[in-house]
Amino acid sequence: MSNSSIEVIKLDGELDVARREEIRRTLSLPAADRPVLLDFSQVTYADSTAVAELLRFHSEAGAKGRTVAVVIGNRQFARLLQYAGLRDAFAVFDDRAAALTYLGARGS
Amino acid sequence: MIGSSELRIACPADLSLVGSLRHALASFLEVFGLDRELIEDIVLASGEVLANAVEHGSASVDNGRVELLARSVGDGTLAVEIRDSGRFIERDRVAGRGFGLGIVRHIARSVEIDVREGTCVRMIFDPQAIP
Repeated sequence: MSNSSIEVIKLDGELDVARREEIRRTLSLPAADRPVLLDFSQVTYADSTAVAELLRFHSEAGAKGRTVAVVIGNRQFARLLQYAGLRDAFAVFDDRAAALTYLGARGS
Repeated sequence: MIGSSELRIACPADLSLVGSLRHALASFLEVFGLDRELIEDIVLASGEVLANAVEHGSASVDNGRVELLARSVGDGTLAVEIRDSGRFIERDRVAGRGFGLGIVRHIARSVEIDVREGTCVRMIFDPQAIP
């Protein structure tokens, strides 16, 4: 699957309450009916603000039948999802290649 | 073994300062020689309370302030207190927010919320017991 057939949304740095509006704006579902890759590989910290916005995005995507893969490279972010009871709520991958393979197999 | 030490910071209740408070707490915790994962978890729990204090506590009060106090306790645990001048609102009960206090309770050994004068959230962390 080529990268041009998916929508990539990327956030980096520290995702906390101070960036809520930016996170919300960035995590808006693209209009094109394509799978979505959320690239958080460069995120260095995340709190419940990020979790809530991720959950909202994922719910909106699911309602429209869109496939979403999430790349999380930071162990703190991964544990945060676990502590929030959401470890299995998303298709989470350690690296972009694995996420792209998943999206390719699932289609839109 | 955790030695005797204390960190105390008071500042305006400003969302842009929450990150700096987290970083200061992380630097303080590094002195105790805790491993990276434990520090991240304590900082995460404290960051959730700080965000709550700034956003829903002091932000509702003119010239609101937030105070962070972290100290070692004699039994080898760490205590973190976060005070603000506003009224405590549990974000987990605010539609669309959620998760914050649940995460704190998952990490901390105990959490006490005192609302007699402003809000003070006291957390005890046991480095031997953090998940």
